[in-house]
Amino acid sequence: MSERRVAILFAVAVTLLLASLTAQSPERAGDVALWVEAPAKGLVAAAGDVANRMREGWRTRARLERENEALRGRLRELETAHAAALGAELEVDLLSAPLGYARPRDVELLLADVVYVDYHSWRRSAILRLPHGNAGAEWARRPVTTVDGLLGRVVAAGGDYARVLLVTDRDSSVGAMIERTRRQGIVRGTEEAGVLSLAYVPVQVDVRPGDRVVTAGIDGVFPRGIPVGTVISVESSGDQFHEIKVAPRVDLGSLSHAFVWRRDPVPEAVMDGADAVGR
Amino acid sequence: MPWAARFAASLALVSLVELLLAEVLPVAGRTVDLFVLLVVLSSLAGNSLQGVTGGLATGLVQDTLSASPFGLHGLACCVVGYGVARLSQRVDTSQRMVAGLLVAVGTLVHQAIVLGLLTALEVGEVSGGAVPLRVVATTAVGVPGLWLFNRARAWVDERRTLKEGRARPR
Repeated sequence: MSERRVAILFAVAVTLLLASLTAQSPERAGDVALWVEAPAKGLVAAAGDVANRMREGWRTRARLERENEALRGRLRELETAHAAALGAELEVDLLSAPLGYARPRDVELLLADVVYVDYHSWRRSAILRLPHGNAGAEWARRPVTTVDGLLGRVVAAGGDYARVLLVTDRDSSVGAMIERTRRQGIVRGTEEAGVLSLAYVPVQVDVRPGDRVVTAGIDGVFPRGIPVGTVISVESSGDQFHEIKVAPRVDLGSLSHAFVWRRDPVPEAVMDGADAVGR
Repeated sequence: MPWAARFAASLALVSLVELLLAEVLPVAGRTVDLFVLLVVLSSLAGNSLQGVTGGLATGLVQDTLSASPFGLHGLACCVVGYGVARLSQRVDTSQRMVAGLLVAVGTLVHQAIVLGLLTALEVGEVSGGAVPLRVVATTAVGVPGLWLFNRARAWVDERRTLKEGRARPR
């Protein structure tokens, strides 16, 4: 008989004898059974834990592999788009040179601390603290953004501080467009603190919730392409324009820093002249 | 003679001696555990299966003869028999020191199991004070007993060889 079989025989004999002994002492049988059962149950529980951890690890790994694969795909798409954009930029440079067209020079951004925000009351504004020596009246009408998108524009500056009219203020107007269709309109603040409206978009234009709204660069203040928000609802009540509600891209409740654009706006005299021509 | 028959004869002899000792010299009967000795000696000379079966049979006979709960010595002797048989496959049992140590360890384990079970089950009297004395006395009897056992086995083997030599046709 092999050693393994002898060991099994031994275990069986010991178990039977223990059972026989516990049967002779019923009041202690439970304790003895517990002594025998507890380590076995502990082993089973430990094995279960190990199995659970392995299964969880396998699931996590599978999920990470899927995410990794998706991110690799996204990276490939972005690399392709980036290469296409570089090619387009090169093409624009080549084509614009014979025409004598000068592209706008690169914009400089000035980082400023947000020291005051009021986005609930009647006058929705913020106050920025600019780096020392940079404040002055010339900062008026400069665009202000965050890393997420458009915040507003400077309406007053003095000392090291500048007041910003938030894009959600009722007096704020921003020339904007729906990125997907390039259709332009005017973004304004509304009675609701966290909602913008996009006006003057004809009902014939295809607008859907989820469409991105960016600045159109047609108001003389804000350059083209700054994210403003996302369309959350579109209603057509029989008028000639849609009633479009837009959720601002910038979370006004978590402001800490903002960028003031050094880009010069179109001078007011020129804007007034344009109005005069229009009249 | 096959191992089972020889073991049964030895078991009968040990049982008889134990009964006689209990009548004639009760102190010696309580101090020296001849059953454990038989289990250890037979396991030293045999394999694991013989250790388990020999230990189980010896323990159950001891349970029958004594007033202890049935299975108490059976369990203890079974463990001792199997353990000593497995150990004897890994150590040199021809050395008297090693054999004496195995006898002492076997007796100690046997006593520990018996006392532990009695305590756990609360089915008999528990007196741990006599354990060292039993271990020493059983070992003291076991080492010469092992020597005698080996001598007797050698003598039997020699006789068998001589007998086979004479019986061989010329």
